[in-house]
Amino acid sequence: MGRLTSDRQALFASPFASTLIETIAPVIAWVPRKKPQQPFRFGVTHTTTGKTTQVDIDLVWDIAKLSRRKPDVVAHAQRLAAGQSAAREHVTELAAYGLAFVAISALMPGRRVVHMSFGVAPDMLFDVTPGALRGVEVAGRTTGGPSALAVVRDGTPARRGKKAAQGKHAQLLARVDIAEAHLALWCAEPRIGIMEQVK
Amino acid sequence: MAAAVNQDLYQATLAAGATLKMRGKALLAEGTPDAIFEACVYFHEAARAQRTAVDALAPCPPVTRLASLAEVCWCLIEGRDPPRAMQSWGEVLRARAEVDEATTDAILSRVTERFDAMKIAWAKAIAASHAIQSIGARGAMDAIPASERTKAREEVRVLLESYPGSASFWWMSYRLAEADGDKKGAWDSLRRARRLEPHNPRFAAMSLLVASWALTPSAAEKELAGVRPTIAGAEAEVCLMYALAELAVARRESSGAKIRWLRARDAVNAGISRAATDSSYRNLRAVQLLVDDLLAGREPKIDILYVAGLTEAAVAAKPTSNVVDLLTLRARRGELGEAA
Repeated sequence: MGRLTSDRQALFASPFASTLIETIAPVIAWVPRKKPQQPFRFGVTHTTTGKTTQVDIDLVWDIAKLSRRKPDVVAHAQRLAAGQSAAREHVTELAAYGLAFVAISALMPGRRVVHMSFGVAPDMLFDVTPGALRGVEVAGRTTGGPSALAVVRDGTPARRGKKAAQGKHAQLLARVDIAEAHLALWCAEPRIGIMEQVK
Repeated sequence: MAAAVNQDLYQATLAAGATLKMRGKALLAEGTPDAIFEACVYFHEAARAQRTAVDALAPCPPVTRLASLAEVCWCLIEGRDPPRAMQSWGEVLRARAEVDEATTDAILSRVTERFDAMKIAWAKAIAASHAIQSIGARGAMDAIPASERTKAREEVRVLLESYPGSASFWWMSYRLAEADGDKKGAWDSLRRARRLEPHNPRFAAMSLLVASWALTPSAAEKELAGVRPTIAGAEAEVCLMYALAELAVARRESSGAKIRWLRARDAVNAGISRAATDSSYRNLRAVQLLVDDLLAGREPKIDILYVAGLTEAAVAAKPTSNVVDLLTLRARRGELGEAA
Protein backbone atom coordinates (compact mmCIF):
# COMPACT_ATOMS: atom_id res chain seq x y z
CA MET A 1 0.00 0.00 0.00
CA GLY A 2 1.40 3.40 -0.98
CA ARG A 3 0.93 6.61 0.95
CA LEU A 4 0.69 10.01 -0.65
CA THR A 5 0.52 13.36 1.06
CA SER A 6 -1.04 16.14 -0.89
CA ASP A 7 -0.22 19.69 0.03
CA ARG A 8 -3.15 21.69 -1.24
CA GLN A 9 -1.10 24.89 -1.43
CA ALA A 10 1.06 23.29 -4.12
CA LEU A 11 -2.02 22.88 -6.27
CA PHE A 12 -2.30 26.64 -6.58
CA ALA A 13 0.45 26.50 -9.18
CA SER A 14 -2.28 25.04 -11.42
CA PRO A 15 -3.57 27.34 -14.16
CA PHE A 16 -7.02 26.32 -12.94
CA ALA A 17 -6.35 27.82 -9.50
CA SER A 18 -9.36 30.17 -9.68
CA THR A 19 -11.58 27.11 -9.99
CA LEU A 20 -9.74 25.15 -7.34
CA ILE A 21 -10.08 27.99 -4.84
CA GLU A 22 -13.87 27.54 -4.77
CA THR A 23 -13.42 24.02 -3.40
CA ILE A 24 -11.28 24.91 -0.36
CA ALA A 25 -13.99 25.94 2.10
CA PRO A 26 -16.29 23.07 1.04
CA VAL A 27 -13.47 20.54 1.61
CA ILE A 28 -12.75 21.99 5.05
CA ALA A 29 -16.47 21.91 5.85
CA TRP A 30 -17.11 18.42 4.51
CA VAL A 31 -14.04 16.28 5.26
CA PRO A 32 -13.35 16.63 9.01
CA ARG A 33 -16.30 14.83 10.47
CA LYS A 34 -15.94 12.52 13.47
CA LYS A 35 -12.14 12.71 13.77
CA PRO A 36 -11.29 16.30 12.96
CA GLN A 37 -7.51 15.90 13.09
CA GLN A 38 -5.01 16.26 10.30
CA PRO A 39 -3.88 14.46 8.28
CA PHE A 40 -7.24 13.42 6.89
CA ARG A 41 -6.50 10.03 5.40
CA PHE A 42 -8.52 8.68 2.47
CA GLY A 43 -8.14 5.02 1.61
CA VAL A 44 -8.26 5.06 -2.16
CA THR A 45 -8.74 2.10 -4.49
CA HIS A 46 -6.75 3.10 -7.53
CA THR A 47 -7.31 1.25 -10.79
CA THR A 48 -5.42 2.11 -13.94
CA THR A 49 -4.62 0.03 -17.03
CA GLY A 50 -6.36 -2.94 -15.41
CA LYS A 51 -4.20 -2.95 -12.28
CA THR A 52 -5.69 -2.15 -8.86
CA THR A 53 -3.72 -0.88 -5.87
CA GLN A 54 -4.67 0.50 -2.47
CA VAL A 55 -3.27 3.96 -1.76
CA ASP A 56 -3.69 6.25 1.22
CA ILE A 57 -3.98 9.94 0.41
CA ASP A 58 -3.25 12.14 3.39
CA LEU A 59 -4.93 15.47 3.09
CA VAL A 60 -3.32 18.32 5.03
CA TRP A 61 -3.78 22.05 4.95
CA ASP A 62 -2.37 25.10 6.63
CA ILE A 63 -5.19 27.47 7.51
CA ALA A 64 -2.81 30.43 7.85
CA LYS A 65 -1.47 29.92 4.32
CA LEU A 66 -4.91 29.26 2.85
CA SER A 67 -6.25 32.37 4.54
CA ARG A 68 -3.74 34.45 2.64
CA ARG A 69 -5.35 33.25 -0.60
CA LYS A 70 -8.91 33.28 0.66
CA PRO A 71 -9.13 35.54 3.72
CA ASP A 72 -12.51 34.37 5.04
CA VAL A 73 -11.88 30.66 4.47
CA VAL A 74 -12.50 29.54 8.07
CA ALA A 75 -15.70 31.55 8.50
CA HIS A 76 -16.81 30.43 5.06
CA ALA A 77 -16.26 26.76 5.93
CA GLN A 78 -18.18 27.22 9.19
CA ARG A 79 -21.08 28.80 7.31
CA LEU A 80 -21.14 25.91 4.85
CA ALA A 81 -20.99 23.29 7.61
CA ALA A 82 -23.92 24.91 9.40
CA GLY A 83 -25.85 25.69 6.22
CA GLN A 84 -29.34 24.69 5.15
CA SER A 85 -29.86 21.16 3.91
CA ALA A 86 -30.86 22.41 0.44
CA ALA A 87 -27.37 23.83 0.01
CA ARG A 88 -25.53 20.79 1.40
CA GLU A 89 -25.60 18.84 -1.85
CA HIS A 90 -23.59 21.65 -3.44
CA VAL A 91 -21.07 21.55 -0.58
CA THR A 92 -20.65 17.81 -1.16
CA GLU A 93 -20.19 18.30 -4.91
CA LEU A 94 -17.62 21.05 -4.45
CA ALA A 95 -15.73 19.04 -1.84
CA ALA A 96 -15.65 16.04 -4.19
CA TYR A 97 -14.21 18.26 -6.92
CA GLY A 98 -11.59 19.49 -4.45
CA LEU A 99 -10.61 15.91 -3.55
CA ALA A 100 -10.48 14.99 -7.23
CA PHE A 101 -8.07 17.89 -7.84
CA VAL A 102 -5.88 16.52 -5.05
CA ALA A 103 -6.06 12.95 -6.35
CA ILE A 104 -5.25 14.03 -9.91
CA SER A 105 -2.18 15.91 -8.68
CA ALA A 106 -1.07 12.90 -6.61
CA LEU A 107 -1.98 9.98 -8.87
CA MET A 108 -1.92 11.48 -12.35
CA PRO A 109 1.07 13.79 -12.34
CA GLY A 110 1.34 16.03 -15.36
CA ARG A 111 -2.40 15.98 -16.10
CA ARG A 112 -3.97 19.39 -16.16
CA VAL A 113 -7.69 20.20 -15.85
CA VAL A 114 -8.67 22.63 -18.63
CA HIS A 115 -12.46 22.61 -18.35
CA MET A 116 -15.32 21.60 -16.08
CA SER A 117 -18.67 20.36 -17.29
CA PHE A 118 -21.42 19.99 -14.70
CA GLY A 119 -24.39 18.89 -16.77
CA VAL A 120 -22.66 16.26 -18.88
CA ALA A 121 -20.00 13.75 -17.86
CA PRO A 122 -17.08 13.87 -17.40
CA ASP A 123 -16.98 16.74 -14.90
CA MET A 124 -13.26 17.54 -15.16
CA LEU A 125 -11.64 17.57 -18.56
CA PHE A 126 -7.99 17.28 -19.53
CA ASP A 127 -8.72 17.50 -23.23
CA VAL A 128 -11.81 19.02 -24.90
CA THR A 129 -11.05 17.90 -28.46
CA PRO A 130 -14.49 17.31 -30.02
CA GLY A 131 -15.16 13.60 -30.33
CA ALA A 132 -12.13 12.63 -28.22
CA LEU A 133 -12.71 13.99 -24.72
CA ARG A 134 -10.43 12.98 -21.86
CA GLY A 135 -11.43 13.56 -18.28
CA VAL A 136 -12.60 12.52 -14.83
CA GLU A 137 -16.16 12.00 -13.65
CA VAL A 138 -16.56 12.96 -9.99
CA ALA A 139 -19.09 12.19 -7.26
CA GLY A 140 -19.24 12.47 -3.50
CA ARG A 141 -21.33 10.79 -0.81
CA THR A 142 -21.32 12.01 2.76
CA THR A 143 -21.89 8.55 4.23
CA GLY A 144 -22.42 4.99 3.10
CA GLY A 145 -18.88 3.86 2.36
CA PRO A 146 -18.13 1.24 -0.31
CA SER A 147 -21.78 0.33 -0.93
CA ALA A 148 -22.75 3.99 -1.56
CA LEU A 149 -19.89 4.41 -4.02
CA ALA A 150 -20.79 1.10 -5.71
CA VAL A 151 -24.29 2.45 -6.40
CA VAL A 152 -22.76 5.54 -8.02
CA ARG A 153 -20.39 3.40 -10.08
CA ASP A 154 -22.72 0.57 -11.07
CA GLY A 155 -26.23 2.01 -10.76
CA THR A 156 -29.26 0.26 -9.33
CA PRO A 157 -31.43 -2.53 -10.79
CA ALA A 158 -35.10 -1.98 -11.57
CA ARG A 159 -37.42 -2.32 -8.62
CA ARG A 160 -41.17 -2.22 -8.26
CA GLY A 161 -42.33 1.05 -9.78
CA LYS A 162 -38.81 2.31 -10.26
CA LYS A 163 -36.72 2.09 -13.39
CA ALA A 164 -33.16 0.78 -13.32
CA ALA A 165 -30.56 3.52 -12.98
CA GLN A 166 -27.42 3.19 -15.05
CA GLY A 167 -24.16 3.73 -13.17
CA LYS A 168 -21.49 6.22 -14.14
CA HIS A 169 -19.16 3.43 -15.30
CA ALA A 170 -21.60 2.20 -17.97
CA GLN A 171 -22.52 5.74 -18.99
CA LEU A 172 -18.90 6.64 -19.68
CA LEU A 173 -18.35 3.42 -21.65
CA ALA A 174 -21.39 4.16 -23.82
CA ARG A 175 -20.08 7.52 -24.96
CA VAL A 176 -18.49 7.43 -28.41
CA ASP A 177 -17.12 10.96 -27.95
CA ILE A 178 -14.93 10.07 -24.95
CA ALA A 179 -11.42 8.75 -25.60
CA GLU A 180 -10.30 8.43 -21.98
CA ALA A 181 -12.39 8.47 -18.81
CA HIS A 182 -11.71 8.05 -15.10
CA LEU A 183 -13.98 7.91 -12.08
CA ALA A 184 -13.17 9.82 -8.87
CA LEU A 185 -15.67 8.83 -6.17
CA TRP A 186 -15.43 9.99 -2.56
CA CYS A 187 -17.05 9.24 0.75
CA ALA A 188 -16.46 11.41 3.85
CA GLU A 189 -17.57 8.87 6.47
CA PRO A 190 -15.75 6.48 6.25
CA ARG A 191 -13.01 8.31 4.36
CA ILE A 192 -12.56 6.28 1.22
CA GLY A 193 -12.21 6.94 -2.47
CA ILE A 194 -12.16 5.23 -5.85
CA MET A 195 -9.90 6.43 -8.62
CA GLU A 196 -10.54 4.21 -11.60
CA GLN A 197 -9.69 4.42 -15.26
CA VAL A 198 -12.83 3.35 -17.10
CA LYS A 199 -11.41 3.61 -20.60
CA MET B 1 -4.82 27.44 -39.44
CA ALA B 2 -8.41 28.64 -39.05
CA ALA B 3 -9.38 25.34 -37.45
CA ALA B 4 -6.54 25.68 -34.93
CA VAL B 5 -7.60 29.22 -34.05
CA ASN B 6 -11.19 28.05 -33.64
CA GLN B 7 -10.05 25.23 -31.36
CA ASP B 8 -8.07 27.71 -29.23
CA LEU B 9 -11.04 30.07 -28.98
CA TYR B 10 -13.31 27.11 -28.18
CA GLN B 11 -11.01 25.95 -25.37
CA ALA B 12 -10.47 29.46 -23.95
CA THR B 13 -14.21 30.21 -23.91
CA LEU B 14 -14.98 26.88 -22.28
CA ALA B 15 -12.39 27.55 -19.57
CA ALA B 16 -13.95 30.95 -18.84
CA GLY B 17 -17.33 29.27 -18.54
CA ALA B 18 -15.93 26.69 -16.12
CA THR B 19 -14.75 29.42 -13.76
CA LEU B 20 -18.21 30.99 -13.85
CA LYS B 21 -19.90 27.67 -13.07
CA MET B 22 -17.60 26.94 -10.15
CA ARG B 23 -18.25 30.40 -8.73
CA GLY B 24 -21.98 29.85 -9.21
CA LYS B 25 -21.84 26.47 -7.52
CA ALA B 26 -19.94 27.98 -4.57
CA LEU B 27 -22.64 30.63 -4.19
CA LEU B 28 -25.40 28.00 -4.29
CA ALA B 29 -23.59 26.24 -1.47
CA GLU B 30 -23.85 29.46 0.57
CA GLY B 31 -27.62 29.15 0.26
CA THR B 32 -28.74 32.69 1.16
CA PRO B 33 -31.25 34.41 -1.18
CA ASP B 34 -28.71 37.02 -2.29
CA ALA B 35 -26.04 34.37 -2.90
CA ILE B 36 -28.50 32.24 -4.88
CA PHE B 37 -29.42 35.19 -7.09
CA GLU B 38 -25.73 35.90 -7.72
CA ALA B 39 -25.27 32.22 -8.56
CA CYS B 40 -28.08 32.52 -11.12
CA VAL B 41 -26.26 35.45 -12.74
CA TYR B 42 -23.08 33.35 -13.01
CA PHE B 43 -24.90 30.35 -14.46
CA HIS B 44 -26.62 32.50 -17.08
CA GLU B 45 -23.25 33.91 -18.08
CA ALA B 46 -21.82 30.39 -18.19
CA ALA B 47 -24.67 29.31 -20.50
CA ARG B 48 -23.82 32.18 -22.86
CA ALA B 49 -20.11 31.24 -22.74
CA GLN B 50 -20.98 27.64 -23.63
CA ARG B 51 -22.95 28.81 -26.68
CA THR B 52 -20.13 31.13 -27.73
CA ALA B 53 -17.65 28.26 -27.47
CA VAL B 54 -19.72 26.00 -29.73
CA ASP B 55 -20.28 28.80 -32.22
CA ALA B 56 -16.48 29.06 -32.50
CA LEU B 57 -16.39 25.47 -33.76
CA ALA B 58 -17.41 25.35 -37.38
CA PRO B 59 -18.31 22.74 -38.31
CA CYS B 60 -19.34 21.44 -34.90
CA PRO B 61 -19.66 17.63 -34.65
CA PRO B 62 -23.27 16.63 -33.78
CA VAL B 63 -22.23 14.85 -30.56
CA THR B 64 -20.33 17.95 -29.37
CA ARG B 65 -23.31 20.15 -30.21
CA LEU B 66 -25.64 17.85 -28.26
CA ALA B 67 -23.35 17.76 -25.22
CA SER B 68 -22.92 21.55 -25.32
CA LEU B 69 -26.64 22.22 -25.56
CA ALA B 70 -27.23 19.80 -22.68
CA GLU B 71 -24.70 21.80 -20.65
CA VAL B 72 -26.45 25.07 -21.58
CA CYS B 73 -29.76 23.59 -20.42
CA TRP B 74 -28.18 22.36 -17.20
CA CYS B 75 -26.74 25.85 -16.54
CA LEU B 76 -30.21 27.37 -16.95
CA ILE B 77 -31.78 24.77 -14.66
CA GLU B 78 -29.08 25.40 -12.05
CA GLY B 79 -29.56 29.12 -12.74
CA ARG B 80 -33.26 28.71 -11.69
CA ASP B 81 -34.70 29.87 -15.00
CA PRO B 82 -37.36 27.37 -16.14
CA PRO B 83 -38.64 29.42 -19.13
CA ARG B 84 -35.16 29.66 -20.66
CA ALA B 85 -34.28 26.08 -19.67
CA MET B 86 -37.37 24.85 -21.51
CA GLN B 87 -36.39 26.82 -24.61
CA SER B 88 -32.94 25.26 -24.55
CA TRP B 89 -34.44 21.80 -24.01
CA GLY B 90 -36.12 22.21 -27.39
CA GLU B 91 -32.68 22.71 -28.92
CA VAL B 92 -31.40 19.62 -27.11
CA LEU B 93 -34.21 17.52 -28.58
CA ARG B 94 -33.49 18.82 -32.08
CA ALA B 95 -29.77 18.07 -31.70
CA ARG B 96 -30.27 14.52 -30.42
CA ALA B 97 -31.70 13.38 -33.74
CA GLU B 98 -28.19 13.31 -35.23
CA VAL B 99 -26.54 11.25 -32.45
CA ASP B 100 -26.78 7.49 -31.75
CA GLU B 101 -29.17 6.45 -29.00
CA ALA B 102 -26.67 4.97 -26.52
CA THR B 103 -24.47 8.07 -26.61
CA THR B 104 -27.52 10.36 -26.41
CA ASP B 105 -28.87 8.54 -23.37
CA ALA B 106 -25.48 8.71 -21.64
CA ILE B 107 -25.01 12.41 -22.46
CA LEU B 108 -28.49 13.38 -21.32
CA SER B 109 -28.77 11.11 -18.27
CA ARG B 110 -27.94 13.83 -15.75
CA VAL B 111 -29.76 16.75 -17.34
CA THR B 112 -32.93 14.78 -18.18
CA GLU B 113 -33.52 13.92 -14.54
CA ARG B 114 -33.04 17.53 -13.45
CA PHE B 115 -35.14 18.87 -16.32
CA ASP B 116 -38.07 16.55 -15.58
CA ALA B 117 -38.04 17.50 -11.89
CA MET B 118 -37.87 21.21 -12.74
CA LYS B 119 -40.69 20.93 -15.29
CA ILE B 120 -43.04 19.30 -12.78
CA ALA B 121 -42.22 21.81 -10.02
CA TRP B 122 -42.57 24.74 -12.40
CA ALA B 123 -45.93 23.57 -13.78
CA LYS B 124 -47.20 23.20 -10.21
CA ALA B 125 -45.98 26.69 -9.26
CA ILE B 126 -47.58 28.29 -12.30
CA ALA B 127 -50.85 26.39 -11.79
CA ALA B 128 -51.04 27.84 -8.28
CA SER B 129 -50.50 31.40 -9.57
CA HIS B 130 -54.05 32.32 -10.60
CA ALA B 131 -53.56 36.09 -10.72
CA ILE B 132 -50.47 35.77 -12.92
CA GLN B 133 -52.38 33.55 -15.32
CA SER B 134 -55.24 36.01 -15.34
CA ILE B 135 -53.10 39.00 -16.25
CA GLY B 136 -50.76 37.05 -18.51
CA ALA B 137 -52.45 37.82 -21.78
CA ARG B 138 -53.31 41.43 -20.98
CA GLY B 139 -51.14 44.34 -22.07
CA ALA B 140 -51.18 47.42 -19.85
CA MET B 141 -50.63 46.62 -16.17
CA ASP B 142 -52.12 49.95 -15.06
CA ALA B 143 -55.46 48.90 -16.58
CA ILE B 144 -55.64 45.94 -14.19
CA PRO B 145 -57.56 46.58 -10.94
CA ALA B 146 -55.22 47.39 -8.05
CA SER B 147 -56.45 44.45 -5.96
CA GLU B 148 -55.62 42.03 -8.78
CA ARG B 149 -52.21 43.63 -9.22
CA THR B 150 -51.52 43.18 -5.50
CA LYS B 151 -52.34 39.48 -5.75
CA ALA B 152 -50.20 39.13 -8.86
CA ARG B 153 -47.26 40.90 -7.20
CA GLU B 154 -47.42 38.51 -4.28
CA GLU B 155 -47.53 35.51 -6.62
CA VAL B 156 -44.59 36.84 -8.60
CA ARG B 157 -42.66 37.39 -5.37
CA VAL B 158 -43.30 33.79 -4.31
CA LEU B 159 -42.30 32.45 -7.73
CA LEU B 160 -39.10 34.48 -7.70
CA GLU B 161 -38.17 33.08 -4.30
CA SER B 162 -37.93 29.65 -5.91
CA TYR B 163 -36.84 30.80 -9.37
CA PRO B 164 -34.75 33.95 -8.92
CA GLY B 165 -33.00 33.33 -12.24
CA SER B 166 -36.14 33.89 -14.28
CA ALA B 167 -35.57 37.21 -16.04
CA SER B 168 -39.06 37.16 -17.55
CA PHE B 169 -40.59 37.11 -14.06
CA TRP B 170 -38.32 39.92 -12.87
CA TRP B 171 -39.63 41.82 -15.91
CA MET B 172 -43.21 41.08 -14.84
CA SER B 173 -42.31 42.15 -11.31
CA TYR B 174 -40.96 45.42 -12.74
CA ARG B 175 -44.11 46.08 -14.76
CA LEU B 176 -46.42 45.44 -11.80
CA ALA B 177 -44.33 47.63 -9.49
CA GLU B 178 -44.21 50.40 -12.09
CA ALA B 179 -47.99 50.34 -12.47
CA ASP B 180 -48.26 50.70 -8.67
CA GLY B 181 -45.86 53.65 -8.72
CA ASP B 182 -43.39 51.67 -6.60
CA LYS B 183 -40.15 53.19 -7.85
CA LYS B 184 -37.78 51.15 -5.71
CA GLY B 185 -39.54 47.87 -6.49
CA ALA B 186 -39.61 48.67 -10.19
CA TRP B 187 -35.94 49.62 -10.34
CA ASP B 188 -34.75 46.63 -8.28
CA SER B 189 -36.75 44.17 -10.39
CA LEU B 190 -35.59 45.63 -13.68
CA ARG B 191 -31.98 45.72 -12.50
CA ARG B 192 -32.17 42.01 -11.68
CA ALA B 193 -33.69 41.16 -15.06
CA ARG B 194 -30.88 43.11 -16.69
CA ARG B 195 -28.16 41.40 -14.64
CA LEU B 196 -29.45 38.02 -15.77
CA GLU B 197 -29.71 39.05 -19.41
CA PRO B 198 -27.39 42.03 -19.92
CA HIS B 199 -27.63 41.78 -23.71
CA ASN B 200 -31.42 41.97 -23.80
CA PRO B 201 -32.04 45.30 -25.61
CA ARG B 202 -35.46 45.73 -24.02
CA PHE B 203 -34.06 45.51 -20.49
CA ALA B 204 -31.10 47.75 -21.32
CA ALA B 205 -33.29 50.38 -22.98
CA MET B 206 -35.97 50.35 -20.29
CA SER B 207 -33.36 50.63 -17.53
CA LEU B 208 -32.36 54.04 -18.87
CA LEU B 209 -35.87 55.35 -18.77
CA VAL B 210 -36.72 53.84 -15.40
CA ALA B 211 -33.51 55.25 -13.94
CA SER B 212 -34.69 58.73 -14.93
CA TRP B 213 -37.94 58.12 -13.07
CA ALA B 214 -36.98 56.00 -10.08
CA LEU B 215 -33.55 57.31 -9.12
CA THR B 216 -32.32 60.68 -8.00
CA PRO B 217 -31.12 62.86 -10.89
CA SER B 218 -27.47 62.28 -9.91
CA ALA B 219 -27.93 58.49 -9.74
CA ALA B 220 -29.84 58.56 -13.03
CA GLU B 221 -27.00 60.56 -14.56
CA LYS B 222 -24.57 57.77 -13.61
CA GLU B 223 -26.72 55.28 -15.52
CA LEU B 224 -26.95 57.56 -18.54
CA ALA B 225 -23.23 58.36 -18.47
CA GLY B 226 -22.51 54.62 -18.59
CA VAL B 227 -24.21 54.18 -21.97
CA ARG B 228 -23.58 57.66 -23.45
CA PRO B 229 -20.36 56.65 -25.27
CA THR B 230 -22.19 53.75 -26.97
CA ILE B 231 -25.27 55.64 -28.17
CA ALA B 232 -23.91 56.50 -31.62
CA GLY B 233 -23.88 52.78 -32.45
CA ALA B 234 -26.77 51.61 -30.28
CA GLU B 235 -30.02 49.99 -31.39
CA ALA B 236 -32.94 52.29 -32.22
CA GLU B 237 -34.82 51.24 -29.09
CA VAL B 238 -31.89 52.12 -26.82
CA CYS B 239 -31.49 55.50 -28.59
CA LEU B 240 -35.17 56.27 -28.05
CA MET B 241 -35.14 55.38 -24.36
CA TYR B 242 -31.87 57.22 -23.80
CA ALA B 243 -33.29 60.36 -25.43
CA LEU B 244 -36.47 60.18 -23.36
CA ALA B 245 -34.40 59.62 -20.21
CA GLU B 246 -32.29 62.72 -20.93
CA LEU B 247 -35.50 64.75 -21.42
CA ALA B 248 -37.01 63.37 -18.22
CA VAL B 249 -33.91 64.15 -16.14
CA ALA B 250 -33.78 67.64 -17.68
CA ARG B 251 -37.33 68.24 -16.43
CA ARG B 252 -36.31 67.27 -12.88
CA GLU B 253 -33.15 69.38 -12.75
CA SER B 254 -33.09 73.11 -12.18
CA SER B 255 -30.29 73.78 -14.66
CA GLY B 256 -28.41 72.20 -17.54
CA ALA B 257 -31.49 71.35 -19.58
CA LYS B 258 -30.06 72.49 -22.91
CA ILE B 259 -27.12 70.09 -22.88
CA ARG B 260 -29.50 67.20 -22.16
CA TRP B 261 -31.80 68.28 -25.01
CA LEU B 262 -28.79 68.30 -27.34
CA ARG B 263 -27.79 64.81 -26.21
CA ALA B 264 -31.38 63.67 -26.73
CA ARG B 265 -31.36 65.12 -30.24
CA ASP B 266 -28.09 63.34 -31.12
CA ALA B 267 -29.45 60.03 -29.80
CA VAL B 268 -32.72 60.38 -31.71
CA ASN B 269 -30.90 61.25 -34.94
CA ALA B 270 -28.71 58.16 -34.48
CA GLY B 271 -31.71 55.97 -33.72
CA ILE B 272 -33.86 57.15 -36.65
CA SER B 273 -31.27 55.96 -39.13
CA ARG B 274 -31.54 52.46 -37.63
CA ALA B 275 -35.30 52.27 -37.01
CA ALA B 276 -36.35 48.89 -38.34
CA THR B 277 -40.13 49.28 -37.98
CA ASP B 278 -42.72 51.99 -38.66
CA SER B 279 -43.61 52.06 -34.99
CA SER B 280 -40.00 52.62 -33.97
CA TYR B 281 -39.61 55.36 -36.56
CA ARG B 282 -42.81 57.15 -35.43
CA ASN B 283 -41.75 57.18 -31.77
CA LEU B 284 -38.29 58.48 -32.61
CA ARG B 285 -39.79 61.09 -34.96
CA ALA B 286 -42.08 62.32 -32.17
CA VAL B 287 -39.11 62.78 -29.83
CA GLN B 288 -37.17 64.50 -32.63
CA LEU B 289 -40.00 67.03 -33.12
CA LEU B 290 -40.25 67.46 -29.37
CA VAL B 291 -36.54 68.24 -29.01
CA ASP B 292 -36.67 70.64 -31.95
CA ASP B 293 -39.40 72.58 -30.16
CA LEU B 294 -37.49 72.63 -26.86
CA LEU B 295 -34.28 73.84 -28.52
CA ALA B 296 -36.22 76.53 -30.39
CA GLY B 297 -37.72 77.75 -27.11
CA ARG B 298 -41.24 76.57 -27.95
CA GLU B 299 -43.53 74.64 -25.63
CA PRO B 300 -44.08 71.22 -27.31
CA LYS B 301 -47.75 70.53 -28.01
CA ILE B 302 -49.77 67.36 -28.52
CA ASP B 303 -49.89 68.20 -32.23
CA ILE B 304 -46.40 66.74 -32.69
CA LEU B 305 -47.87 63.30 -31.96
CA TYR B 306 -50.23 63.71 -34.94
CA VAL B 307 -47.35 64.92 -37.12
CA ALA B 308 -45.24 61.90 -36.11
CA GLY B 309 -48.11 59.51 -36.83
CA LEU B 310 -48.84 58.58 -33.20
CA THR B 311 -52.51 59.28 -33.75
CA GLU B 312 -53.85 56.90 -31.14
CA ALA B 313 -51.68 58.44 -28.41
CA ALA B 314 -52.62 61.94 -29.56
CA VAL B 315 -56.36 61.21 -29.42
CA ALA B 316 -56.09 59.66 -25.95
CA ALA B 317 -54.02 62.52 -24.52
CA LYS B 318 -55.44 65.51 -22.69
CA PRO B 319 -54.69 68.69 -24.67
CA THR B 320 -52.92 70.16 -21.62
CA SER B 321 -50.64 67.15 -21.08
CA ASN B 322 -46.92 67.70 -20.90
CA VAL B 323 -45.61 65.88 -23.97
CA VAL B 324 -42.34 64.76 -22.30
CA ASP B 325 -44.29 63.23 -19.40
CA LEU B 326 -46.78 61.65 -21.76
CA LEU B 327 -44.14 60.00 -23.94
CA THR B 328 -41.98 58.81 -21.04
CA LEU B 329 -45.00 57.29 -19.26
CA ARG B 330 -46.08 55.49 -22.44
CA ALA B 331 -42.54 54.20 -22.92
CA ARG B 332 -42.13 53.09 -19.31
CA ARG B 333 -45.37 51.10 -19.54
CA GLY B 334 -44.36 49.43 -22.77
CA GLU B 335 -47.05 51.19 -24.80
CA LEU B 336 -44.84 52.12 -27.73
CA GLY B 337 -45.91 49.23 -29.92
CA GLU B 338 -43.12 47.39 -31.70
CA ALA B 339 -40.51 49.91 -30.55
CA ALA B 340 -40.58 48.53 -27.03
